[in-house]
Amino acid sequence: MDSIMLGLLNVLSPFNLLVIAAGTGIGIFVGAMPGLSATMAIALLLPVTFGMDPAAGISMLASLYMGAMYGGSISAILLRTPGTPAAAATVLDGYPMAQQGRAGKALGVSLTASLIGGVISSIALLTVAPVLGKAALSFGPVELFAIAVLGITIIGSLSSGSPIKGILSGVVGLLIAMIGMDPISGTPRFTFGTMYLFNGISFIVALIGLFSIPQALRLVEKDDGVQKALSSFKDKMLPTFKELKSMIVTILRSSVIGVFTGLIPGTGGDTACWFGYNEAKRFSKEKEKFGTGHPEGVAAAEAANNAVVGGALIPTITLGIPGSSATAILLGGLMVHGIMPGPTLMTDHALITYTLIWAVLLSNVFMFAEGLLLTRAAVTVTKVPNKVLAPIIVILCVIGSFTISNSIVDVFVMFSFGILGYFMDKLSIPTPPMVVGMILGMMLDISMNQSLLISDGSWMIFITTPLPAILLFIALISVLQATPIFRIIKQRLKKIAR
Amino acid sequence: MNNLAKHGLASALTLTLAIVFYVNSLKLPDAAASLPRILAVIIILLSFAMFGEAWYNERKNRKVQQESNEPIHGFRVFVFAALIALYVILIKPLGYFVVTPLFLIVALSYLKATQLWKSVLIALGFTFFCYMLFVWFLSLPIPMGLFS
Repeated sequence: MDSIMLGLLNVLSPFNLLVIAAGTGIGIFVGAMPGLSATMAIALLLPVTFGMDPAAGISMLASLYMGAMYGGSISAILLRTPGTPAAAATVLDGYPMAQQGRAGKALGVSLTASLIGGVISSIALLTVAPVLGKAALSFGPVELFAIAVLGITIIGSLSSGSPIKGILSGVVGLLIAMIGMDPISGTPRFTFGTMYLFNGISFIVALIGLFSIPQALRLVEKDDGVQKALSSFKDKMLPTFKELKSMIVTILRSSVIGVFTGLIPGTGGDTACWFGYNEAKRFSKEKEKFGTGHPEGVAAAEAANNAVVGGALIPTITLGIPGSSATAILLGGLMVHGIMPGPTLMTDHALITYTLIWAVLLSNVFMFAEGLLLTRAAVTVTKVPNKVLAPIIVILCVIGSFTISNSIVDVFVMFSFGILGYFMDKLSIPTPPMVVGMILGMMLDISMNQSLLISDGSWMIFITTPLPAILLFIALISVLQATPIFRIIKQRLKKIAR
Repeated sequence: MNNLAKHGLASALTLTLAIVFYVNSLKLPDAAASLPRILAVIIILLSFAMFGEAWYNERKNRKVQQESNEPIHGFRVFVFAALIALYVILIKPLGYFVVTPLFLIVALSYLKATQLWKSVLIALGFTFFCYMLFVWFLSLPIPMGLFS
């Protein structure tokens, strides 16, 4: 309880409030720009937090994540182009509302639903994380090994596109994490005689390249289309109490959906918004209104994508397993300050962790206030041409990766990963599993070797201990469902059932 | 290059990576080599699986991803990537204040993003903004080159 209160007091310090407000504001603007994702914005802002106190830095990144989730709806409603993939379902009813002259109302509904979704997910984070964190403290290396294996297989198999490619990307990430000094024996591994590789490849450098350079290259590969955009809106933003009452059940349902979707590694706002939207339509008595400019459609999608933030942070904080690419970068933000993610995060670094949790809750309030004040201004930034943004992103990547350890080699590594990410994108190989693999690699290696030491080299320890056995079984299922074997078994079972 | 050839190349690359790491792990003590060896074997299997999947999709003539009809300017991407490479190479010897505005002006002009005078204004303004943010506000280092 003391840690929770200390976190609250820390988050209320003037500097922390300032960085949360700044992070939320930047998030709203970046989210509003089509072509710029929340993940990329967090990756680019990460070096900016190096010079800050860890609690302030991580709070700024988390509030940017929250702000970007709402910001994505601005261009979805006004331009029919989602600012972030998480706002894809918002287009369906948001854009028709704008065409009917109700753009302000659509944005207001989006903002209110985002606030409620965000607050519910923050409360879930504040209540579930300490309990789960306490349980995670009893985990030994065998359990941690199983959790890491489960994390990488689930994020790999649930990533967009082919599960085979997702898992391959994750395993390549794990292999890259093996470069450097072996944590158990101290032997240099795969350094190929290069001094730089003795410390391993910094995953922060890699993620800046993987998430930002491909985005910059994608922005220049096509001509800027002429968008029939609304340059302003005149109607009132906030919904009336009657309107809010008619949508509240949908908002609450979508918020719960968002929290649970966020909990599953590999699924994020982009999945949650469709899930929330479809469920709202399924339960609605006015199904035919969905897709024609129905405020409930906007509310369902927006509550779900903001609720993902708190949900995704639960496994990130308690177990050190990032639920999405954005939370993977948040973990990177902690690691930059020498804080190793994992079950001890809630005890050894309780102040930072609870400050972060309170910052997520508080960022919703800032998002609502700044949303009311800044949405009209954010409409202007949607007009910035992609070709102007691309070189600016590159400069932030180069300077950001240089500042990590004052090394130009880091910049070369960042650029190489950027080019790799571009080609991976062209082949529909997801990049988030690779980053998560790079984060989990060390944890997997240490826990595996410690477990084998405990069992005198017997691999049976992973099967004979109940919890790891269950987790590894789930991991095996998630891998098998990516193969034709699963389809064959499913067909056989169907035949038997008939 | 068709989809199957692209996937073939990607599979060959991941396969080579896995083999190089596996062979290299033979020189390591068992404790340090066990996980990398397991991972290398998994990558080898997944590389074949990825190629197999691409081959299966090609045979079924199924398009994995719907590409937009809008043409992609491959040459423009190549030139822009080359400009980034040049920027990365030159920033250490020449310094941030020389290379950053130059990169911005050249890139914005090549991409025909805006008029030249606006490009110059953006270049100077953003170079100054980044310096203020990283060096003045956050006390972080930037490559100074000729100005060091």
